[in-house]
Amino acid sequence: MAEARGHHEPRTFLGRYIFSRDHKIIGIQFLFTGLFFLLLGGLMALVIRWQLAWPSDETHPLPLLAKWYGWEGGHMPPTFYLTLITMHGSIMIFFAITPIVIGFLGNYLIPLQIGAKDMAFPTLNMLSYWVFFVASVCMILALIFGAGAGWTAYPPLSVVATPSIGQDLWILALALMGVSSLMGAINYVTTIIQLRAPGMTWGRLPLTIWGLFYTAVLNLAVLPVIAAGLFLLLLDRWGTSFYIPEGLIVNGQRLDQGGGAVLLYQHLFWFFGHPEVYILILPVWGVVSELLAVFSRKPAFGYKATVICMGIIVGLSLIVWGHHMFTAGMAPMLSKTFMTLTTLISIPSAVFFLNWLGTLWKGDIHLTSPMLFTLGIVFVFAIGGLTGLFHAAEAVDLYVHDTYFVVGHFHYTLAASVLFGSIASIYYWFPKAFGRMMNETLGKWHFWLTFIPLQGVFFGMFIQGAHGHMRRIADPTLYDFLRPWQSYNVFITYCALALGAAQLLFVANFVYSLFAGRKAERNPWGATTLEWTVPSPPPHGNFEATPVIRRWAYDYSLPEAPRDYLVQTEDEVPVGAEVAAAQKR
Amino acid sequence: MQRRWLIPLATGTGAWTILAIAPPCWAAGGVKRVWWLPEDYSTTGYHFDNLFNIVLFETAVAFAAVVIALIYFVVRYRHREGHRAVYERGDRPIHLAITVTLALIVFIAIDMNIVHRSNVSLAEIAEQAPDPESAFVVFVTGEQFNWVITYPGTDGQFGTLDDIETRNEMHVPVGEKVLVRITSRDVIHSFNIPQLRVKMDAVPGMETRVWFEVTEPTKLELACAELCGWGHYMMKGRVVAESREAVERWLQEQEQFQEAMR
Repeated sequence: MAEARGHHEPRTFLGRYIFSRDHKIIGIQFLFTGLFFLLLGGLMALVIRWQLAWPSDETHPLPLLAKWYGWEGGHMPPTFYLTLITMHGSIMIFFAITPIVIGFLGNYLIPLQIGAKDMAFPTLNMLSYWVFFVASVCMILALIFGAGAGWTAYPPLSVVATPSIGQDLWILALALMGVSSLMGAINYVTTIIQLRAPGMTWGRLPLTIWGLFYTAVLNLAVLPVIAAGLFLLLLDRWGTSFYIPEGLIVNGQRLDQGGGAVLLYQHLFWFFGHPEVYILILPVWGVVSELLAVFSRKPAFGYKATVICMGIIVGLSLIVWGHHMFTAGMAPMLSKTFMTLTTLISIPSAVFFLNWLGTLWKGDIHLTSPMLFTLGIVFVFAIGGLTGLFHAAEAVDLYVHDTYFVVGHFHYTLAASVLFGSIASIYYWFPKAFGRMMNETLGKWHFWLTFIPLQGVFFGMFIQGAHGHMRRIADPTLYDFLRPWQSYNVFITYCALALGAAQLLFVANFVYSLFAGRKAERNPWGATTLEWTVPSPPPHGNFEATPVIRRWAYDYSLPEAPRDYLVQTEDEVPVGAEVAAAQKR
Repeated sequence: MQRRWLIPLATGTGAWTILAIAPPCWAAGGVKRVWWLPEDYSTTGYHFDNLFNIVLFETAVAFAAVVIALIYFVVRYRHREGHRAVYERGDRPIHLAITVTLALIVFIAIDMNIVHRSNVSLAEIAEQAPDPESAFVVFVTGEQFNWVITYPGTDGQFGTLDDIETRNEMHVPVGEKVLVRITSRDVIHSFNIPQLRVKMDAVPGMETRVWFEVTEPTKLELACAELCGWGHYMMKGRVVAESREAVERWLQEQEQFQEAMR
């Protein structure tokens, strides 16, 4: 529990806001970059939906873009569609959600919630953002040049079929993103282990910090693997053949590469790719556990069980990747192993739900906008998690694999749960980060107008997927067995447009509150964790004096306490009374 | 036994009964399509549909439990003036008991149930797989953006001069096991016929296999399920299931056509 390496408060604008080493500014940089990409990725989703609803219907030309590019009949060429689905996936996962839930929450909250002045390595932290920034520039360039192999970028397609520089840039962007995340992860792990304030034992850490800690550990475990996999892929594009088997004939030309194994990339990719979804959702589980406690005015139910189950999931996530490859021609014995291990994930997940519902039970529930989104996560993550069982069961997955059923499943976990987690966190920590409250009325409208159409969008995908609707196809009307379901595509598109429009409320609320929101006091939510003991926004160096932690993170509604929460630094209730209360229970 | 143990025990047993015993009874009753699964024309497709229905049932029960509790708690324990929450950390032995009970129910009634059924179904399908020597064998090669369908011709051997090659049209006999050997000559594709519940990747440098038996004469679509480039969406084939004689006749036509082209 050493002191943070002190660095002086920067005086210039450039030093303070651009090349800052202050964890709070870096967190906010991640937040703004992430929100920009979230809007961009969201717009792409709407364009994709438009294409799926009216793929060859000339009465519904694509607004703006069709005129801009001068497309015949008002509809995009299939190459453009391919670029769009590739970019929507990679941008949303790596450049929208990752910077918000890991970059923003991690950087902003870790030092504040554990009582540190800054991260352990402030310069590395700044470097992490700027490498991420370069990666995002590469990604935008890839979008302009066009990269089209899906976000999974399976070779040989990613090696042979897109000769443009776009695919190289795409691979480079992802590899750089990995480097940035790795720097962040080293920083998070070191900071949480080394810089906890006196008295902040592991058992007193807020659950958000636990989630972020596990995420960082998982990042350290899997990022080197995908980085290696991506560099091999890049080399394959330049002539080596790690993934290219003998004798491929592409466009009538025989490739002179040979001797590689196609499935090797899939193993490397999913060894990273499956933990990646847990990397994204672990902080959200932490946030849910924490926000449910804050707004139920009740301790986080089963704190230890939650922490242990998060750990179990971290372990399991590393050994289940093969369930993405049931149809890939993998040995059947491997499939059985992966199926069995995958289903086990449902056990710790069930415990999360028990604990979340346990927190609500006999609580004093305040339905603020962050709480509404948190309750929304419990609902959508139930759907997202449970539909995972369809994919875990090999016999079912052989049928639903690569259909919209999968798309529905991972959008319920990522687009719904993680996105709601990001939004809930923004509503909740906005007053701390910017010193002003967000508008509650708009927030509540935003929740309902997001929650309802979202079900229309993603639940509809289960119905389509069960019917066999393939994912990543640009024109479903070509297929006789899908044509009766085309009206469903139209319905989903209308819901998606409504969902997109509702986000304008959020943008308006965010921008308005940034400049004209009600001034926030130190602790507007009556929460117990350390960030609420400092001014909003916190000054450089966070704490005037190193805080001393006297209690765990969730002392809400303690019967002896004068009010319904006790901050972690408070020692108002004599120790004896707490013991007596514990015995009375 | 203490009274406080009764509630978790009773709920546990109840949930157990519903999750473990009801779906098999229900599946045995021959409920084929409760969800919007497409028509099934194969002899093996019911395995997939049954397990789909079982998983659907179990997840629906679990989901209903979560949502009912969620809504009930939010309404029942919403904020009222002067009301204070109960200080409950949820770390007493009874909570451990509830957690362990829940974990066991999930493990046995859901996880192992699903794993077991999936393994049994797939083992059964694998056992019934036709013998490559005597079965009706088709060789399917994926290429951007076509399905190349190869029949062995009269000598029954692939890779000989009398092989019959067609594009995007596959005729198979009804009521006979058809073995499909799959590969690709460029990128990964996926051989996918939803109405036969068949999906297997076409991997370059490797051969994968599936088999099916069509139950009645029909025309189906063969779609590519793995992203294979800009034309992925139009990589579509036709599967015609008809009598053995009709298939032979069609093969002869193809052969004559092929001769004429030479």
